[in-house]
Amino acid sequence: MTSSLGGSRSHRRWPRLRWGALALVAGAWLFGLVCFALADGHFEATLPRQQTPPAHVHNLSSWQYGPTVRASSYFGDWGNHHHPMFLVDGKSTPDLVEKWASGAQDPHPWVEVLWREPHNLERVVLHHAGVVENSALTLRRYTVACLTAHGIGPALHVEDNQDSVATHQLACTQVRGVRVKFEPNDKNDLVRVYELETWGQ
Amino acid sequence: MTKRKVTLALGAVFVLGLVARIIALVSENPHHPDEFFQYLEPAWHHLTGAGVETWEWRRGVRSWALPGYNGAWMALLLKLGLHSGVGVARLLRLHWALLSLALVWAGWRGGSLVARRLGAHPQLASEPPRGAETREGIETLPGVPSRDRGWQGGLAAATLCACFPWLVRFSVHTFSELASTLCLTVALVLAGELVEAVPARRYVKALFVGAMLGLGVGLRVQYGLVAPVLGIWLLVGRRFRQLAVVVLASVAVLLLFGFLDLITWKSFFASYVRYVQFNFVEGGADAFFGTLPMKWYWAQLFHRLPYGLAVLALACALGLRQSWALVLAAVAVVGLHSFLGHKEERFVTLFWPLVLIAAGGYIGTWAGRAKADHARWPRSPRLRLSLAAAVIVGLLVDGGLHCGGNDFTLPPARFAAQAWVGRQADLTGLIYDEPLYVGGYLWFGRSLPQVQFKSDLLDNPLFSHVLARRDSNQARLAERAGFEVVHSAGDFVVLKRRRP
Repeated sequence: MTSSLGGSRSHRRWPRLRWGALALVAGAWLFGLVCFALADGHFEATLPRQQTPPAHVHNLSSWQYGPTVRASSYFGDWGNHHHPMFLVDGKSTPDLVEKWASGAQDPHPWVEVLWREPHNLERVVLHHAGVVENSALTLRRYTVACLTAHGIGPALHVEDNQDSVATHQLACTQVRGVRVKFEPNDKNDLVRVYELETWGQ
Repeated sequence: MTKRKVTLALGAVFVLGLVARIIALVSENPHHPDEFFQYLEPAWHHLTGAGVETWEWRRGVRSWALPGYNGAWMALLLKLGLHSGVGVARLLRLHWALLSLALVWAGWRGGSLVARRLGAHPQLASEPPRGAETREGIETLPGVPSRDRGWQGGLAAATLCACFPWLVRFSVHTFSELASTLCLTVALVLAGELVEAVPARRYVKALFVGAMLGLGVGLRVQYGLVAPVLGIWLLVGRRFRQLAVVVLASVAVLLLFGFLDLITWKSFFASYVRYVQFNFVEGGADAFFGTLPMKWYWAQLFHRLPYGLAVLALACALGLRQSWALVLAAVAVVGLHSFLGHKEERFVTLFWPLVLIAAGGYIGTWAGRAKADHARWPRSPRLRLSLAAAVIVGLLVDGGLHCGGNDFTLPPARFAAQAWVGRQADLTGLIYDEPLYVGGYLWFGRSLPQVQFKSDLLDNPLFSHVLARRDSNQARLAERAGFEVVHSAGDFVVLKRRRP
């Protein structure tokens, strides 16, 4: 009798355990699915620091100083891999590949360069597509903003840029980096930027 | 044979299948770029922002269903603190290998089903084992519920599905073919059980069959021919209400795929429409990948089992009266794919489990044939059992001897070298000789740039490492540009920029 009862309990326990384990796995996967669905797909990477920044005015976002680059997206084909880190490589005569291009499905492209320490920013220099490609691809409208510890700081709205290398005076004190929000010239255009320099000390 | 012994034998088959898959996990190298770039890399790209985007994804001819499934696991692993791309990829391969054990379960159920249905024939009635009784010519084991009748066929088919080397190899590859094969094999086997069930009211099972069918077809639309075969099976079995439930459930699941496309590609069933347009209207795949002759798949299947395929065909033919739906679905899948110019062996993965279950069911039934009745040679049950076991072992050995090689072969050393570079703390960027035959950003595990070799890029200070074939022109150019060899893996070397 005891044995029979024990057996029946064990028979009841196994399906419960099985369903419990299944529910646990399904719950874990659903949690992962929610995290996956909530991810916005933005890019972020930090370069290792190669040297300490000098005390005088310099390009704060140069790759050597270990900046963090963030971007809403990038055009990452096998052959045409326009990685956001090309924005800070400092190459004066870039190849067609060596630019940041936004992803094909990105309606609101933006990039950020964050420094390791707060700096005083003086100006921002953008090397647009016209440096290497057709000048019609140079972006006309964008907003450059300083990034403070509390979010977006002083900003500059550019309405009709015509320069392939556009210098924008933007003075900010003790800021962490800059953010540039672009408006593509045509809604189907990719944003193409070869270099994003931030000068200050 | 008691129920306990059958359960133990089935458990042993599962363990055998698990061990085989773990061996495959360790020894099997990635061999198709698609297993990374179509189903893993998009998910990694979405989660980390870094990834290679293939033209299929740019054109929107892929559904987010499978990358979304993989991506959920990736997101969970990232939350748990596992940031190694190689680690994530390996765990996902393990996950698919474990899931593929569903084929062993399907083999057991499917083989038992075929054997039961064949066993109903008086000629194939079993001799009762010691202590067992017979009822209507079908063996009844003491304590074994009716579903377990036909256990000989179940064990034979489960063993074949557990250990068939080609299936084991492909169980660790993250393809849509594998996911779809698992769903459709289970759907077909359970549909067979619906046909067999008395009383016929099995609506929950019909719901499950429909869900599996919808999932399998949604994951790989090329396997869609399984749906009419399954429907015909239920129609022939006069399971009209169950068929209605199956249709409703599968359509509901397929609609979910449509809604997913609406969310991700902004149009209902967009990826499927574009896929059909590209492959069948524009002939894009043929132009892009080239074409192979119609008989190629059959030749390839024969190449995989040069001696055993005839045995499988014979077993399928002899049991065809009861396993025709499985065989028809397998042949239809290969037949349809034969008409498509672009051919890869993995496209017809579904053929194997269906044929193995059909054949295994017959072989098991044959092994359990009664000594009396009309049975011819061999009359000894032991001899018959030994012969059946020898046939199964022979099929597995034949499959094992011919499972090597593949229509794609990726050098594992390049993957090892790429992963090594990804682990370097001073990495700022990688130039590699071949972006297609590596594991993308997932395998790299870093979001720093990795770009296809161009000599101009060697001047870019952002790139700290170069991956190229040993003694290649690219390696020589890199050395001339100030890089030096710091690591080698097989035919490949990693060069690092000398920095002041």
